[in-house]
Amino acid sequence: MSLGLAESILEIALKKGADEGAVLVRRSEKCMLRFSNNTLDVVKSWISEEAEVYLGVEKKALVVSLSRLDRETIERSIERVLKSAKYVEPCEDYAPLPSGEYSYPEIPETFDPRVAELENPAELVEMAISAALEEGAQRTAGTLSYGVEYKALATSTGLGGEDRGTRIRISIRAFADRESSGHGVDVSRLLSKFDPERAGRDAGRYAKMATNPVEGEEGVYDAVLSPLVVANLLGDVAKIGASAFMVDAGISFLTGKLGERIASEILTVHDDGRLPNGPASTKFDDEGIPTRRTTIVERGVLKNYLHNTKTAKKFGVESTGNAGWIAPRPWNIVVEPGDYTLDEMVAEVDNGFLVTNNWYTRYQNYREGLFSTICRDALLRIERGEIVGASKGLRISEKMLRLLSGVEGLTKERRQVQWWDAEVPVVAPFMLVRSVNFTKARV
Amino acid sequence: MEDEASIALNLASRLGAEYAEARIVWSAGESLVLKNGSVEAYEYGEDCGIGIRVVVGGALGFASTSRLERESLEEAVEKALKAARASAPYFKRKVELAGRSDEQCSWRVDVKEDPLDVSVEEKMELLVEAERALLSTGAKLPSRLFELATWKVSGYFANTEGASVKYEKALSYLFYSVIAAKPGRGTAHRWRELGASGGWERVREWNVPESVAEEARTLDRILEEGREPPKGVVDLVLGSEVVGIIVHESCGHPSEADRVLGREAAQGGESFIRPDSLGERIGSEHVTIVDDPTIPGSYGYYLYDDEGVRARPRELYKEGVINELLHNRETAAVFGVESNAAARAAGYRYEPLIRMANTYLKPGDYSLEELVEDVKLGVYIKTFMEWNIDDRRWNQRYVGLEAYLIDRGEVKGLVRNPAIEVTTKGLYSRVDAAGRELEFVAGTCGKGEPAQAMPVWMGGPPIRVRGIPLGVVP
Repeated sequence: MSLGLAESILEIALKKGADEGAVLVRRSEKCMLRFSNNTLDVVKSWISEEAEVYLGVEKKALVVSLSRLDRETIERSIERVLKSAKYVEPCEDYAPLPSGEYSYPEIPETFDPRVAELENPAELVEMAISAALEEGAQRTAGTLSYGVEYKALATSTGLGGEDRGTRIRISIRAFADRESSGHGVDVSRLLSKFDPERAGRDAGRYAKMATNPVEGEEGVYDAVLSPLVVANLLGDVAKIGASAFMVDAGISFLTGKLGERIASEILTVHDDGRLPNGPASTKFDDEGIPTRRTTIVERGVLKNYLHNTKTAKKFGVESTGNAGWIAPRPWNIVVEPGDYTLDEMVAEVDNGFLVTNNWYTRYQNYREGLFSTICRDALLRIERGEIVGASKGLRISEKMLRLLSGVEGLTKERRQVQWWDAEVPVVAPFMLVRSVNFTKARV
Repeated sequence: MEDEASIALNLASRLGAEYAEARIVWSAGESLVLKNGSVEAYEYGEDCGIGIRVVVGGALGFASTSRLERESLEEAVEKALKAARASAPYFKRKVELAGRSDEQCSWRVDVKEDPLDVSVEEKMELLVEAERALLSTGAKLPSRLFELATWKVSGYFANTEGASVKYEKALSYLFYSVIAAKPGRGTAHRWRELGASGGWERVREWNVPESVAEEARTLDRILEEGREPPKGVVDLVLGSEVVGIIVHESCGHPSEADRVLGREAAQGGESFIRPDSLGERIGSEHVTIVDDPTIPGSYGYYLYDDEGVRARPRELYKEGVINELLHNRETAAVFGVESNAAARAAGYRYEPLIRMANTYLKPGDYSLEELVEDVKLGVYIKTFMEWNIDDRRWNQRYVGLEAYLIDRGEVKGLVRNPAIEVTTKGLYSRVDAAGRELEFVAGTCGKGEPAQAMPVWMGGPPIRVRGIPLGVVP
């Protein structure tokens, strides 16, 4: 049904004078339960139908976004954009939409009717809250969100098709007292692989471990970064660093580093648009190129940027199936596992911290990757290979590539992470990083 | 709009809602992106839909839809009610709303030149001129990125208490990122947002080409002349832009009553302010911080909030004392006060949350020269890049970009990357003077889940802060 709509909008665009075009129609039904202080605060639901239209005219890239899809609105908006196009200068790096013979095989584990028609979602919230309280937390807050999305793409080069997916996600933060907290998340495409109880237990256990924190001291320490922290930082590596748009703009800290060692040789990172059960998995990108697995970092060496057709043309490579019409985007980031257990990793640390969560990563200079990020929730002090207590008040102040070069260990166990401050989904292990700079407020 | 709202509210009442409200929002806007001199995209969008909130059995339900025909409206209302009713047993605290919201009125932003009637040619020309101005400086600028956006919004709010509020506004926004490079001296990065409500005339006032060229020259000088800042404890003079981000982060956010109650704990976090903190001292007598939605032309402008409550200035910190929180009707009921109209939604798709509008530190009576002349050794931090703050809004960091050494009362040469890490009380307690020139910068504040990007202004005069340990980013 959506494909028919996409094709009819495309026909209008071409009739009105676009040289080429692509139309993406999305229909979704989503719900969210928000809770705090162990009680629900609001139950939200969304019914949405939207169209995005890409028009290529005389090497100019034009985009129309609409949520009202009646013929009059569609025609008027496209006319307006085409009329304005004469004033827009052609894009130096314009590339025609791709064409070719592509197939879009189904991706396993991306649709579950039980998620689309979820019954009693509040019980899943209760399950997570109870698990956190059983671990010793006093109160919790978070969200459970779930829903279904259908998308259809039609391009003037004959690419596109339909895709559908379900997603369910929980993010729960638990507090053992005012200053002691832990965070747990889980995200899945299938109800059978969704474990809100485990997220609650993670949050509750960390909250309990974080009690009686002492002010941390500034300095250089070894750090064990949890999957939440790895997701936050590697999400930036993918979104800012590896985006060919950001590289071309000269903003990325990976500008000019293709083929160079940018990280420890134990680090291998992929983008995977076809990851089974991956939150962002989808059969094709916004240009109709089939998604795929692209290795960004292989044994510490920067192998690829993420491309759409336009950036690929400029860089003289093939699209990696990450369009975005204007800028490429990552799908699911996958960090290859290592051999460690978490206990073995902690045992390797003589003087350092287990950082269970972070937030508010901000840059002094994107091109140099100069940033700081705040340790949030349980910050656990490690001395001579053992967790000896909790700390507070520290932030990591680093250069991204220096931090990546210091990676010395990865766990076998990984978690699929996506939450409010780590929107790019990442399959992440715990990560041992040597000599990390921690700073703190001094007055 | 009235008809659709009426259909939704009538149905909600019929189906047993104790309270219901409908917000219909239509917006249209266009944007241009210029990357290193090349036009990446011209975008135009229209968005229209309805957001409905209901209270039933003490549970709060929200639903939105982008389809406004009767059938879709009814489906959305039924969804909101059904979900709220089914979840009501899990609402251990029943939702109540303070006071009544029954005003019938309309408000609008004055617009001289409709930003959507201004030709794309003129907008294009502005960016091309800015690009030319950057290149004319002779500085080596390997990265130049602009985004210019203008849009209009019409909205209608109605509820089952009789409120009926219509509004129309127009907004403009410019973002730019410029990186300068110098062999052996690395790079320096400037990232800035400009924003205002009103017509295209507001964009003209920004003098974009001159302004960005000046920024580029400054970046070049930072690389050429910037030296290491002094070490140890020094006095600081902080420029308006830095004061703006400080008051936004460490006064505005912790004063949001939903944070104080723990409702944002899993997202933006909580607050060092507790429900019983009003009256506690947090800073010196020079620290009065106001959040005021009613400043004409401001980026965070509104006269009625998204619960139909009339806006007014809020004195959050008054002469160094925690004075007032930002409330919506729900938190106001918990605190036993009236809403002060802080409920804002980023569109029909979003539930209204407690948000800032335009937050600023009240000016004193010093000139910049007078602030500086009494500093023996210090740094004047005029602009910043990196910043962050913990999720209780206590431990924060700001790293200067354009910053100068102050030596025996005089502003001297540029220093590079001075970093301050301070607590909220540590910082505000050390403010010993405020300048008289009030300036604002625009920002896009993020909060809520799904995240809602909200236009705000933040600002203040330059201020002097005594005895702050200074760090440096390598």
